Amino acid sequence: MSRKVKDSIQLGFIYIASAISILSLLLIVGFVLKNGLAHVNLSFLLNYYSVSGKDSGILPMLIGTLYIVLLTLLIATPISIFSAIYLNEYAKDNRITRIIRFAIDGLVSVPSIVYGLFGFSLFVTILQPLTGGYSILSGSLTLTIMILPILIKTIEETLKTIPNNMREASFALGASKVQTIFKVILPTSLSGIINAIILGMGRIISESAPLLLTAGMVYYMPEGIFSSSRTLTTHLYYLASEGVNDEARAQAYATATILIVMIVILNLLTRLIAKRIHKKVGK
Amino acid sequence: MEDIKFNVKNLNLYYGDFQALKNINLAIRSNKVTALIGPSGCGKSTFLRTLNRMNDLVDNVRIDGEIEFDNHNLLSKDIDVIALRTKVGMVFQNPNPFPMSIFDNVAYGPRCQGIKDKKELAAIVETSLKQAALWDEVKDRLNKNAMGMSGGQQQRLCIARAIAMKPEVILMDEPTSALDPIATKKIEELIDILKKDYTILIVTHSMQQASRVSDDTAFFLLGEVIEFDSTLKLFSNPKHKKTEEYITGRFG
Repeated sequence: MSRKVKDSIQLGFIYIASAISILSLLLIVGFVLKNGLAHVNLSFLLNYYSVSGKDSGILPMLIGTLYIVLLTLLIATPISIFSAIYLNEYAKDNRITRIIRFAIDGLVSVPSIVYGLFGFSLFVTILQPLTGGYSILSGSLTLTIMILPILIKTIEETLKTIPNNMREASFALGASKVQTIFKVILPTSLSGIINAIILGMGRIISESAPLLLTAGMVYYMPEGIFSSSRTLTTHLYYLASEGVNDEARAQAYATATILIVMIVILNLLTRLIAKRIHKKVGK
Repeated sequence: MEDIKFNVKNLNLYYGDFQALKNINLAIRSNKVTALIGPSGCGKSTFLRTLNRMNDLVDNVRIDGEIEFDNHNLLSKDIDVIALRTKVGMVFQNPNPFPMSIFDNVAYGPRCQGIKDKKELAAIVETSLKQAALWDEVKDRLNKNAMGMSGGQQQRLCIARAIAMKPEVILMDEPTSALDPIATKKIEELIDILKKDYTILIVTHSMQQASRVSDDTAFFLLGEVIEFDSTLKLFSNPKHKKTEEYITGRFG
């Protein structure tokens, strides 16, 4: 076969592969929007859920989701940043750190329902006096444990890309290790850290199984982090499992629509905040 | 007796089992430029990095001997390494400005030492950039990111950044090897001006550069100092055969 023919076959494969991934994204989003948009209106956003289906809304689930996303990130981000800093800047390569790394790699591929079961036994059952049992806090702590490995790994990869001569330059100027980390290494790796957070956020929002077991299925408005709460995804699961009911199915699609919009908004918001921080750190 | 900045006595350095520096004895004169020459892997950069304790950052390094600096042995465990590095600045082979503004790069060191006053910082930045002959080129874009400068400008920024600490010594590790001839010439002119105020040590692969900029030259070979003399004498009348062979380009 001539080289030209080989080239065009390769190129063809690349085009087909790209087309499949873009088309499937468009198809899913389009399908959800087509079935869901008609049912999205202000009262759907601002009403509570009603079992009868009349004027039913998703406000409590929307708030519950926001609660869980924010609380989980609030706990997981600092822990993962400092863990990654420890692993990359301080830890020597010895048996203990190799075990830590092995554990992190292993935890990434543990099915989320296993985390749910673990969170259920620890946070919901044993620590019930502290967490309130089924609660936003229990759910967030469970999801924190679930997303920590992926956050730590992503952030550590970013730290690894910072050339060593940045650290040397800083030390040679009489900076301490802590100053070097906070003034050079963290600001330089900010975009990587933001990416890790967005990745983590995506996993939090899309997760439903562990939340069923830890945050509960209550469809009332959460009163705080000790309240049980239903997130959009668990709500979606609940609605979809009533498949024969047309009203429930319509609500499921509308909920999915809101879910997609919410992911886009949170993504943009995170990037905006990152830009703000970047400007401040720069000065 | 001449003013000696570093008095190096019986210095040995090991990376694990490998001995990288063998019984080095050197007296580095104050406010002079001392060039360290020799083929790759001869230990000249390693020696330079002992003077501001940058070898502390490398695992498995063992050092014995003594380097007298300001009446103290700077290799001693009691030495405040951070204070030492504010007195002994360093410029690296590849320009390595921080990915921040030009102003912040120069203000980095002083800020780490706790200087917060904006006027004071602005004054330090201006004098440092002027001393590094960079002020006129960048004074209108101090808030621009330093990564947008040319390689030669970046290296002068790194020199300005070192000067901002008001050091006594500036160590330069092949500072022009990544630069074009014009940028190199500018740096060499700068070294000539800076030696009035600072003691400068420069590692270089270029014999011409050593003879142009330095007062004293040390020739390193396989971890040993073969010859150390005034640059004039070493280049015109080398005492050792190896030195002669190296400076005439027969090996290295």
